[in-house]
Amino acid sequence: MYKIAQTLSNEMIVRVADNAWIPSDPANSDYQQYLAWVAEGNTAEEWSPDATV
Amino acid sequence: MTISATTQGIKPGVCTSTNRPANPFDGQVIYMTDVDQTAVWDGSTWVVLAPIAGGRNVIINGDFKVWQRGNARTYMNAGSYLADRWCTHLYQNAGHERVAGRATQYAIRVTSSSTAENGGGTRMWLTQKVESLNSYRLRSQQVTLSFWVRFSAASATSSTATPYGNFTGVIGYYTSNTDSATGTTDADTATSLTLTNGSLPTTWTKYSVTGTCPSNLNNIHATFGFSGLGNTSASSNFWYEVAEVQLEVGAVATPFEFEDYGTTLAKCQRYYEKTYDIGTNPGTATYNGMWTNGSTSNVSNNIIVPVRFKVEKRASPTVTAYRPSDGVSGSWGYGRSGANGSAAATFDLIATSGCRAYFDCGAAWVAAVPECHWVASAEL
Repeated sequence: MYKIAQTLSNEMIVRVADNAWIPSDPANSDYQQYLAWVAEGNTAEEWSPDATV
Repeated sequence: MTISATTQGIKPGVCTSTNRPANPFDGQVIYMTDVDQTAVWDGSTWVVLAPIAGGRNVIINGDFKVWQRGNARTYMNAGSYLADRWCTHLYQNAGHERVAGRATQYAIRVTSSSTAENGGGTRMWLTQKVESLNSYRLRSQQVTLSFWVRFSAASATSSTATPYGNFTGVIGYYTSNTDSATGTTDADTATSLTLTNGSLPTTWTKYSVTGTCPSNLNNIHATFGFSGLGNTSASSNFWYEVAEVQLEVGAVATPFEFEDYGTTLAKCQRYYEKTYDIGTNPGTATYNGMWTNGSTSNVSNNIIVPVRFKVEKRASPTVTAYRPSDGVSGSWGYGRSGANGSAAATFDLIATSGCRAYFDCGAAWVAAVPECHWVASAEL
């Protein structure tokens, strides 16, 4: 599962399982996996810092 | 002039250490297959030569000496990494761990495991995908994959109806995808070496396979594993070990190219790095090696953390924060005037050279000391 985070400068993807921050770089293999997850019909919720701590 | 076939003339250049030419001539060079060494006759004895020119091996960490993520047996999902640059292949979970090597210090052991871990079974695949910038030079070239391997038993059997099939060493060629897509697709074409299940070697044995790269090659990979799904009933009751993997241009498997540790580590860090010491697993509770400084929070209560990578990454990496006090992912600790605590880390502006991070210390314009560990991954 993934979440979308609005940061000070851009939008980032957070992988919930390990709190990893994924840039929207097509050359990033984790981003490719996120796109595949979205293509399966999934939608990322908004990320909240309170959920992480 | 008469040249005796047994005492003069050119002798075969390939032999074993116990079957070397009986009457060599000065300067004669041989390659001994059993010890994987090249030697020259100096007039009185065979002198082992240093490996021929370096830079031959396309594979990084082919002798499995760098394990930044840890080296204890870990059962991993498809596409996961333990030894640097080596991952489980598509759809194939497997247990990886570091073990004693052959001529080199270490090897990797790939295990089958419990039925519960396997789920539907596993082919126990192990693979290294080579990035496109290092693959393009192989276009239209003949390449040879060589490796040492041994198995826990001559036969890989299964507690389920599905057998493992034969063991394969594979050179895979990607032509329709590039880099990151190699994580979600398989190679377009391949050249394989097959070891028959039932006759698998239980002592270290070297094998090689040669293929020709397509003219439109984007990525190449080296993969090991079984052709069919297997499933065993007990943990680690069947395994294979691989050491000294080399992929090089040409039709000959030359001796493994040894490389100093620092060079291999730096190559690996193009794909993965961490703030922790090399022998400390990410997520360990330790302050050693953490990033810290004397900071001041901004008007939004944020402590800004500049993240610079030790080595430029292949692509903008995925970054994960770890709290030094307890190893929990996603947050960092701080000490500031009036309070200590922790908060979720936010990363942005991620690029191949570094990124910005920040986290909320609960007060604006206060002196603060952040406590930060992180890892950055740009694996294929």
